[in-house]
Amino acid sequence: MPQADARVYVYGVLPGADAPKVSADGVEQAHVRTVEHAGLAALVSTLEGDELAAAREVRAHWRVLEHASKSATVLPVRFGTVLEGDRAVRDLLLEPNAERLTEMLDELAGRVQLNVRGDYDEARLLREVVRTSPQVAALRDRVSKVSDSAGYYDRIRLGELVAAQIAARREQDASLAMARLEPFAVSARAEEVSSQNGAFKLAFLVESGEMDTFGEAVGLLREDLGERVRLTYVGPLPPYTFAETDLSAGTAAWA
Amino acid sequence: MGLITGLLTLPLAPVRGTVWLAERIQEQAEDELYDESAIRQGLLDLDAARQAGTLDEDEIAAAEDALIERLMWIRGLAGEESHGRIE
Amino acid sequence: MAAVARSGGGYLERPRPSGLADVIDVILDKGLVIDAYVRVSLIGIEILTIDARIVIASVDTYLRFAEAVGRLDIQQADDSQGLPELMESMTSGGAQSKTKGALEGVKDAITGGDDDDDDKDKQSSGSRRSSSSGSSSSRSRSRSRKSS
Repeated sequence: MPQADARVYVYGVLPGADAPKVSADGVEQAHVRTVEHAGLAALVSTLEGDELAAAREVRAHWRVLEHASKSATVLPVRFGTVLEGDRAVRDLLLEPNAERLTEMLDELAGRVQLNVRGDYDEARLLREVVRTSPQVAALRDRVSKVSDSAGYYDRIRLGELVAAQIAARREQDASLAMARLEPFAVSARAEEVSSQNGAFKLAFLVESGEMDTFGEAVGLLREDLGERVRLTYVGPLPPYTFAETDLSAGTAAWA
Repeated sequence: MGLITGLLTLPLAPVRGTVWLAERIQEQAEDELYDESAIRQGLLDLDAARQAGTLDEDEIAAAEDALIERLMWIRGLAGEESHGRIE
Repeated sequence: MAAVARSGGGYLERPRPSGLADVIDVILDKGLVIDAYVRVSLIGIEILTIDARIVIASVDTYLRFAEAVGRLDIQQADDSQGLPELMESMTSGGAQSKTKGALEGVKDAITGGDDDDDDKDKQSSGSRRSSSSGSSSSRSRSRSRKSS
């Protein structure tokens, strides 16, 4: 099979002018190269085998994007994207979408993604719930005094009350965090929290030049959240979360 | 730990019935299988081990792979839906 | 998370560089999606996903019925030490009780220490448990809510 038709793994898209700056090893430790068209460059590598150890290649995907982002604005492509060959990359990805891709790259230029997440210390959270809700405290007390069967429905009810309290706090804390940080970002997303101890998971697109101001807001937020919420501030990342075709709707709000 | 179990292990914890407890553990175990925070914590721990040099890189990488695979399984990545498609 | 000199009202925070734990979510779930018809399915990933399920099932079985039930046969990747072997070398004495909590420490990161009595979930391919109990346990797709 001619090289041009060999399947290719696609990492991301960047401006054609920045293509020469990127050189890295990617999936299967294959050399990462570019397919260029219409002022755009797709970061790809040729796939030799039929099998990919998916978990291992997540790392390669990550590494390539991190590396490329050091010297260019890169639109990350979803992990696991394979196209039929260079021709497909050119004719099916870059050509029909040139305008939209260029637009997206313009919107992301000079901006970075910063993630802010909050997690609860569960013991502390539960203590606070018991302390601040007389209903929970009373029910807990009652439940502690009876047998399994006698207290069964009370236990269910207790669990429900606690869960509702936690959900309310989650919403409060997430709203606070968003309200504090949003004003310093170009765009913001709230992700669904996927663990019991999670308070919020936020992604922000921030101007590189504004990172310090954003960082001040994070510092203030940390102080105000206190010890109940453990804040994690991570970045800068390639703009994975903002590589959406409806990005312009988000930025328009800040225009 | 599960909400209810956690609640009742606070100071002033009462006597717990074993049947009820077994049920909570079952729920908790199921929650854990799907609880992504455990995976995240595992990855954080592995990174810490890497920094501290307490495990060698091969072991760490294999452990990370296992966690990533589990996460992929949880999210059913064999047949995911798309979002943000290019038109 | 290092706080730097005070500026304005608070400490100016610098973000810490992302680690695998921080990016795994966005890598798997975010990024530009190229419409299905141009995507070639990645055979390796599918096989591996199935293997991962088998591996998870066998780990649970091993932990719970170590004396009674033999391990499942698993196809291993060439270069890696087989996952069960690796786990065996890392599990201390296999004394994993049912009440074991969330992943504790690095060694347990592989063994998982979970018990799932619900065989139904393990057998169907790629299925997820439908969420019954309480708050935010299993999550299907990550949905992002745009800020207004």
